[in-house]
Amino acid sequence: MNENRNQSRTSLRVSARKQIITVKIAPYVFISPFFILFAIFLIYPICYSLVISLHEFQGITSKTFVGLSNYLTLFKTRRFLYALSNTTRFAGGMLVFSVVTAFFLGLILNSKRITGRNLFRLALFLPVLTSTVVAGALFRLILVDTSAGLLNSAIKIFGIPPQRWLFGNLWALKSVILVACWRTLGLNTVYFIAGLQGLPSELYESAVIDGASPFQQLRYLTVPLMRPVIAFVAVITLIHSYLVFTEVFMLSETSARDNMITLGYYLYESAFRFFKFGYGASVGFIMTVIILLLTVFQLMLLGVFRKE
Amino acid sequence: MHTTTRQKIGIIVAEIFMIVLCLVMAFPFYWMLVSSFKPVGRIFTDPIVLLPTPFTTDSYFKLLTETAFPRWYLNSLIFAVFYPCLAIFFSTLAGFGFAKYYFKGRNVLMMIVLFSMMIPLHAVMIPLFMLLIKIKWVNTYWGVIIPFAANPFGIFFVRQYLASVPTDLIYAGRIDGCSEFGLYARIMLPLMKPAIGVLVIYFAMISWNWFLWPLVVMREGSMFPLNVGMAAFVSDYRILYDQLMAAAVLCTLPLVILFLLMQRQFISGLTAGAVKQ
Repeated sequence: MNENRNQSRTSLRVSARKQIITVKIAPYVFISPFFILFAIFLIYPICYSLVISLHEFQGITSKTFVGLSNYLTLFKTRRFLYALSNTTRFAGGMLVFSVVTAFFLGLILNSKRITGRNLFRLALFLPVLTSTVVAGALFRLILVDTSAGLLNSAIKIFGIPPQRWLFGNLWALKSVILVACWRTLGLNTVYFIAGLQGLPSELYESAVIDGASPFQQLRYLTVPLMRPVIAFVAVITLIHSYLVFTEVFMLSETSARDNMITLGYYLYESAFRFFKFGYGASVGFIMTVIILLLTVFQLMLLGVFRKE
Repeated sequence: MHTTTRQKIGIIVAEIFMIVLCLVMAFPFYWMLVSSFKPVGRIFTDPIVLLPTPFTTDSYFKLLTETAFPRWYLNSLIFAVFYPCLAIFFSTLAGFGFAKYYFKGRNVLMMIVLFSMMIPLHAVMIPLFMLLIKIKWVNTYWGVIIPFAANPFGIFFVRQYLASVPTDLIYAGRIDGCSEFGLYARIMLPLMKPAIGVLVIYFAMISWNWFLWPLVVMREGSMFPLNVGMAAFVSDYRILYDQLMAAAVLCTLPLVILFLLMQRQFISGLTAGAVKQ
């Protein structure tokens, strides 16, 4: 009897220990499929892309170490400098026309006194559902440079001569901004509406009792309370802007001109049209640095680094 | 609340502004639809013809019979089915591990996951392509899908969601003799249904709209997904705008239908991460 009980106790203890071990191992088993893929397809490529950017490639296998010469060439190449300045101007345009506009649209659509809010939201959101390629194809049709293009025939009614929307220096980049704005405005507005709906209404009630004007409410309540959402939307928009590629691909003819080229397009062109892998990787590295700086800037805006 | 005349004027101005803006935003949609039903020679006209006259469905007929469009559609469908399945499997499994276990290195690994969300495709595209050449995955479905199957946003989203699920359920499951994998498959997975619904829509939408990566990986026309196929239309010497617009309509239609049916999941998928940080 006694022996029997002892035996079952030991076996219980053994199974309990077994369970503790499985509980300790289980999480690693659960996260390992993810991290194996992650290591092969993200960590390794990131490290390797730094190595690539320090080499010059002949074909895919033979490479010679060239140090920082790819980076030095970049800053001496006019087309790259055009790409850098165009991309920055594009990002600035998106900040004004997609983010600031979306904030005010969010304010309007969040006000209960506006009728037809749901219909407005739907109309604003529909473009978000198109792919960038569809949006690009569609606006190519609208903006086409000939006098029979839709926009050109529309402005003709007002007596304005046809413009070169896609290839002229004046409009090319602005057309890219227009397409990107059309596609992102609705999403940014949805972000702001979601943020505005989370604000405490009691604060506004007491502000009204204290006699605050609508402008004062906006300046001293809404904007400070919305700071995290504003920072998020602004930085996400900037990050996506620095990566812009598809809009340019769709709006340009077979090859983008200097007045429309962006960093993303320059990378694609260098690496996959001219097969200069090392050179392309150095463009990619510069883009990554810009994006990391923007991310740090966002965290600073959110007060992550501030001392309590 | 008392409304003053000034406020009334403000509301009317805002209404008019919104109506004009929404018409402008919706017009390209209308134009896409109208152009797809016009004969190709009648798309560019001066003055503008706002209605599809003469009306024809030629473009759709030609698109479906004379081009590789049906094949492109199939390729996109393959992406939009397999990518969400894989990505959801990996992210629910790992998200569960992160949310419900304490283990060494948990916080560091989670930081790495969060940090990796910032890394753009452009930064890894070239070495990734060279890797695909080495393992002979160029011009295959795997080459497009697998490198992005480990989606950091998915893990983050699942972990956030599971934080609100009581851990007691897991203790109860263990006492009842459930294995650790059983805890995931039988207890947590059913509870995650709403989160999975959001992720399905999110992953299906991004894979349906993939462009740059398949453009690099796919070398033959028959392997193109929809968007790459449409872009090939544009790089042609003479662009067939009627067929291009028909393709655009057919490409956008599934997402519009999905959106109208499941607006709530759609919006929460797109705004997750934005508001609750």
